[in-house]
Amino acid sequence: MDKEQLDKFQIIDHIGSGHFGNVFLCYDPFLQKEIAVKVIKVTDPNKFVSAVKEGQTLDSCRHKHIVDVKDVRSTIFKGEQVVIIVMEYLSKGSIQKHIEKRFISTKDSCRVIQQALLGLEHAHNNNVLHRDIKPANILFGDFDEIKLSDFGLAINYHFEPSNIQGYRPHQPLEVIEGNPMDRVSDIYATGITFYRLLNNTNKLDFTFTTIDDWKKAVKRDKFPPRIFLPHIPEKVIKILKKSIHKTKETRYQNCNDFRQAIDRLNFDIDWVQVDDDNWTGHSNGTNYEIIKFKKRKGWTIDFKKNGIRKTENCCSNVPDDKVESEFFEVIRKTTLR
Amino acid sequence: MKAVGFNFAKNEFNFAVLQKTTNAPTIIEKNKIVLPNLETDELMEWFETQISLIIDKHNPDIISHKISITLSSLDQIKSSCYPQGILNLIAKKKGIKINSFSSQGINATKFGEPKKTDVYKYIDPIIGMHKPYWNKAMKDAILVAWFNIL
Repeated sequence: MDKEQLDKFQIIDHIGSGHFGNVFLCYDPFLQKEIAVKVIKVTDPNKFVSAVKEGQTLDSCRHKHIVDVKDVRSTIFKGEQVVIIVMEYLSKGSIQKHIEKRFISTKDSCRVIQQALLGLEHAHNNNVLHRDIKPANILFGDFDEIKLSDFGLAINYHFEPSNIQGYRPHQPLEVIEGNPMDRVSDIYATGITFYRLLNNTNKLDFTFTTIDDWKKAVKRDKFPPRIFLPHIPEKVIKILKKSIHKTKETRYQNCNDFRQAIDRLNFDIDWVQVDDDNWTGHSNGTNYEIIKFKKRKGWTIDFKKNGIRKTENCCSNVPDDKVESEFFEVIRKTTLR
Repeated sequence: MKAVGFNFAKNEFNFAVLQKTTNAPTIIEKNKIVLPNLETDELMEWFETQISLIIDKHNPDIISHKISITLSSLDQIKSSCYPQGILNLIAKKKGIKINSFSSQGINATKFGEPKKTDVYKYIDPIIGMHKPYWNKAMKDAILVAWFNIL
């Protein structure tokens, strides 16, 4: 059976979709390799392509932490004039998919954001904004390196922020109030992505029916709610809070400052949740485990290094109302040195 | 003409970007970058990315760095010597001239002053005080860049 064609490419699979359109895994018969092709519908495809090319967005956004865009052009697909964005195909997918499938540790969240900020800084240095940073736009490369996707292309094909149906929960207060996006709004969006990674939350509950409700919630720090998983160390939460501060001037003003705040964290044990009562960790080739279990006189917390119990972080006879705080206190204090 | 100077240390590096003028050079950017706690191979990749960001942002005519010759610990060698190699490779790949100065070479004679003149005090009234991080480590980065645009 003939494979469906998309421009000069053969469609292999449908990778994803959103309000922008669809992304397909395709085979390029000329280069003889798999590529990703995003199909977007815009009012004026030719104008869109010209804007991208004239702005030299593609050349300005070539960086190892940015998905390589091979071409942007207008074409006919299923009888419609569309824009296709031809990109390198990254089989490991987006961090959004990883949040759905596995636990993202604090250290891993920081690494993702550090590398995303390196790509973002490169684009900002070239006067290109991202405008739509979110977990779905952060991909893993073949060696687990982080790559930002959709760079500088999120120009014309999204809804206007004034339209509540086209909401973007990653927008800061000043943008909701009608101010144009800038570098610091990209920082805020990266901060919200950081929030979602640290909290292992795939979706932010966006239930507002009016812009005013949304604005009020952001003003009062109710959106996103300042609630954090108990294993996240306070130093990390402090960085996160600064990156999503409602006051623009209080936020990190550039990618370097945000990234350097994370760079200064001195990580020790990289803890991963196995289940509610069991976490495992790794640090420089050493394996750790922390478990809690209930006995007749109360809870016992056992902390093991390479299978050997380390009494300094163990406790017993912990009452029901204290066990969670004691358990996560050990995780928090051993996550960072 | 634009020059960038680097000075690598154990836990951080300083860099300064200077623009030549008819009088004292203008400091376009200066900063102290703290090194993340990474394995050696990851740290080298980080250096390459971080240094490239600075070079690509400013597109200098020449790069300069201070050579550290009195290092003893392995940690110091990894965080100070290794990145100097990476810096030289980046300069070569981008076709930008690069040179280096030892700590003995960073002295006031380059400004026509006697060798005993404290070069770190000497430059303050000329180029001005630029806090934060206006210390010897930063001034070394400034000076190695400055020597190229005298």
